Amino acid sequence: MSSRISFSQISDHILQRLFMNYTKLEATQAQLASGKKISKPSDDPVAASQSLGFRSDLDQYNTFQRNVQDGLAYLGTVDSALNSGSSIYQSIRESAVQASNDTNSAESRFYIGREVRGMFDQMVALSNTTFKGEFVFSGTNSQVAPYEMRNGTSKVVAAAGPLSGDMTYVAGTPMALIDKSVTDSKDTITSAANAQLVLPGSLKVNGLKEGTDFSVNYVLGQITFNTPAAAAAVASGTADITYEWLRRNEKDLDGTMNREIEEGVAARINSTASDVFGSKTEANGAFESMINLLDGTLNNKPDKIRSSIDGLDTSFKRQLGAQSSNGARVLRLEATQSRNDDRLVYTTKLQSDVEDVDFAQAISDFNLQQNVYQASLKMGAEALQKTLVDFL
Amino acid sequence: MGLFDSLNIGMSGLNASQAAIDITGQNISNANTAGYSRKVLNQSADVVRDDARGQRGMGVSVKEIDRIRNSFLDRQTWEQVGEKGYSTEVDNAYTRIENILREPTENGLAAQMNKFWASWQDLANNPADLSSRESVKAAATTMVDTFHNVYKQIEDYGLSMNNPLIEKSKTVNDLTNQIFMLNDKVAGSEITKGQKANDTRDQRDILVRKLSELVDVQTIEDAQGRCIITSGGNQLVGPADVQKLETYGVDKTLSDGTKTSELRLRFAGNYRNFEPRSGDLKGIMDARGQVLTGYMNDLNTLASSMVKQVNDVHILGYNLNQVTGVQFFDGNKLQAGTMQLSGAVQADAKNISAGAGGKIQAVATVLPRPVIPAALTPTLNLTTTDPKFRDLVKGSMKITLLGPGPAFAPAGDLEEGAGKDYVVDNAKGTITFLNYARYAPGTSIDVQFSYNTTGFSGNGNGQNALQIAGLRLKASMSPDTSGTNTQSMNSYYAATIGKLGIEKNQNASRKETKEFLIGQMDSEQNAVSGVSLDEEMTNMIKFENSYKASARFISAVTSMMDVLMSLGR
Repeated sequence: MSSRISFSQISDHILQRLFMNYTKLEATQAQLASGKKISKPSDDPVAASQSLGFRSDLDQYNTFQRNVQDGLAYLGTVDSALNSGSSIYQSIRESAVQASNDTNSAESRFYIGREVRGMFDQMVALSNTTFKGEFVFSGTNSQVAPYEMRNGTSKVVAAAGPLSGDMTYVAGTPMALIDKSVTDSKDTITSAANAQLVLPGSLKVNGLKEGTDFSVNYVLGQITFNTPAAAAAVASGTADITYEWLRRNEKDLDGTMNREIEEGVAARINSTASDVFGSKTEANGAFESMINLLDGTLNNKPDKIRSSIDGLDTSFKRQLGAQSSNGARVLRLEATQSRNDDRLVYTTKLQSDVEDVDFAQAISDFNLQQNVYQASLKMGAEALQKTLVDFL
Repeated sequence: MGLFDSLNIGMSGLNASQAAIDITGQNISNANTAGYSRKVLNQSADVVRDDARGQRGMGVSVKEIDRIRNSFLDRQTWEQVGEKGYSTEVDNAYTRIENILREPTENGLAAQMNKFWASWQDLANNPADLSSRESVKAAATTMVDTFHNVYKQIEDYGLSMNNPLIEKSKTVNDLTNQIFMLNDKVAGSEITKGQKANDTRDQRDILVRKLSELVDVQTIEDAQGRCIITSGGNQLVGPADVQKLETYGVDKTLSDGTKTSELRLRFAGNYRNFEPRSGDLKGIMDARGQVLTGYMNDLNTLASSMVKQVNDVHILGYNLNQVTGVQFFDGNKLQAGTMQLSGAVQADAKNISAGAGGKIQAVATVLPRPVIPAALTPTLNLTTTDPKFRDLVKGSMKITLLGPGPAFAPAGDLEEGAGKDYVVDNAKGTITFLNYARYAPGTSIDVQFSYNTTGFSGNGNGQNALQIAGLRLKASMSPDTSGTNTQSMNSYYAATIGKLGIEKNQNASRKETKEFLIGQMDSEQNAVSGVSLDEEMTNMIKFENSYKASARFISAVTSMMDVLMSLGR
């Protein structure tokens, strides 16, 4: 005899199977509606955890790409600055060679000097190139301009008090020019006030004549008084000196700026003032050589002009070096950019494999489950209908 | 032996058939009643006396009505029902945590952490830019808010379990009370009246099953037919009394400082704690005590690691005000529910230290007793643990000996200098110990010193921000108790999410197994005790016919009697 089957057994079974089929149908429907295989960790714990990892990776690659793009823009700014620097050098050198020619009169040298002065100003403007409001040649002190033109004032007295900023008169000895307008945050005149890189032709001392009464070392910013007239001016308190000078910021301008372009890989993007214009103590720096040239042209000193040409060549080479380093940095960033692009594409694909629904599969699953569900409904309706009662 | 006896035999047949028809009717009526067990008539042939030809039957007698049920299967089912109740409650907790964490999405904690790290990268590119600083602050605030929010929701969910605990313990009390009363009824009819209390037992089984959803249930039937119920090692329903449950509060302080109470269960009579072994109640307790607490702890570990590590790097850097040593997060608030940006950063984004460099004033380290091979000068290299301890500030070194005893090694400050206790190489960051006699076994030393980092190098320096952004990938967390850091914060969180999914699935599959088993057992029980309409209809025809036959028999005997009577006319 076969086992006993009761009425509620059948109905329970039918209900249970219906629920099971419907749950599967619902799960597939949720996948199709959201397009995602996993909407919560328990859908696939390993995939969920992987997906978080991929998201983090993607986010990071995107950040790196942003860094690279930012770095490329920065390098582009530097590159165009250096390019125009090269053309300035070329013009200056032409002028220098022209001026060195012995056929030139003092006057014609003076006019060449006026041209050079214009190019000097261009070079100063170039040194203050900014990227997004930050000075590109200031190293990590990007908030300060590396070079700035100042109008200096100095006073020479017979005997100066400490820290007053006045210069003590000593006959026949070079005295450092102290710009009284330069003070630190406590209004104290410090060594930073030593005005170097004085512009030739700009220096005036009341009633005294350059060359006879005094002479000037423009690069080092030193003045030497020679005559009794100078001594008299000092004694009468009228030895006021005014001049223009180029102030190199005393802060450290040599810090490196980096962009992280891959995990733990920082690529340098900046060229410092020393790389481009020469260090603070460099005798053949860009501005030092130009000041020598200005001195030679404005004050008609052919020897100075000739020696400045060497200095100009040295600084031009320095700048070309900086330019080629810059180019190498661009290449490096571009290589990394394409590598990061590859990784982005690859990781996006991995993430999609893990997270996204295979629609063909899901739709065919859905149809199959729908058929099964409908079949079980139909079967249930049939099976529950008939009992012996119907036949009595 | 006379015709009246025959009438009686016919009569007993009529009675038996009618009783059987009644039972069939009862079975059909209750075909869909939950917990109803089908009944059958237990009848036997009456034997009254022997005579020369052998035993003479005197008709049929109805002994009793039997309940067809497999009570062994019942007990097994109750056990599974309890475990299913447990898994269901735990599953609810996992589902809830999944919904709270919302991973993987664009707004979950993982996404906020990524945004936080990315904001540091952007700051590293533009360290002097105030808007980059504000966006670091905003990303950090959002991340902190997400930590708070997630933690608070889990915490609230834990608290909300107070309510079902009250309701379900009341239900337990109701059920045990009803079972106790039904026990009396069963004993009353079976012992006193000698009748089987079939329907009362059915009712009682239904109640026990309901009870087994809430707590674990072990049953023993005593001699009077009472069902004695034990749960969690304590008797709930005894022969003479019922142990009532009650809830009581335990003080608890939430992450936001609110004081509240967490409810527990105990017996109303003796205040002993009630600890069920399965069922909804155990599920609620475990969900709260283990599942929720576990994930809250994970979040706390992550949060405290985040605060400490970001701060460790941040205080080394310089901010826009050229100040170093400023915390980014509030270093005293290490929990996911309480973590906060430091007051300085909250007040002004300029206080975010993006620039590298800085002097660290006092670092205290407890080093173990220096290992001293004979004749060798023991040198402790501070750089081995952390390369940043170089360029020590001259004269800042202070070394204190901690124990163990005055006789051999008096505790106290060590003296610096050749011929004294130790010398320091400030540039390399090393200490050379000279006076061996002071370092007894078990000695440890406390070292305090200051060291210089590279110093302020301008507002355009974003090295420190870059360092903080680099924490994203730094293996800074330990996945187990080994203490070896092999996971970054991001991967720790990802592993937590993975664990959540796995645990939920394990529990859910346990729940499904239990449901399936219960379904099987119910089906098996149904096969025995369920009503089959076909069978009942067959029985009905059978009993109807036998009733008709008995009536025909009586009418035959009656006509025989008529024949007999006519003889006397």
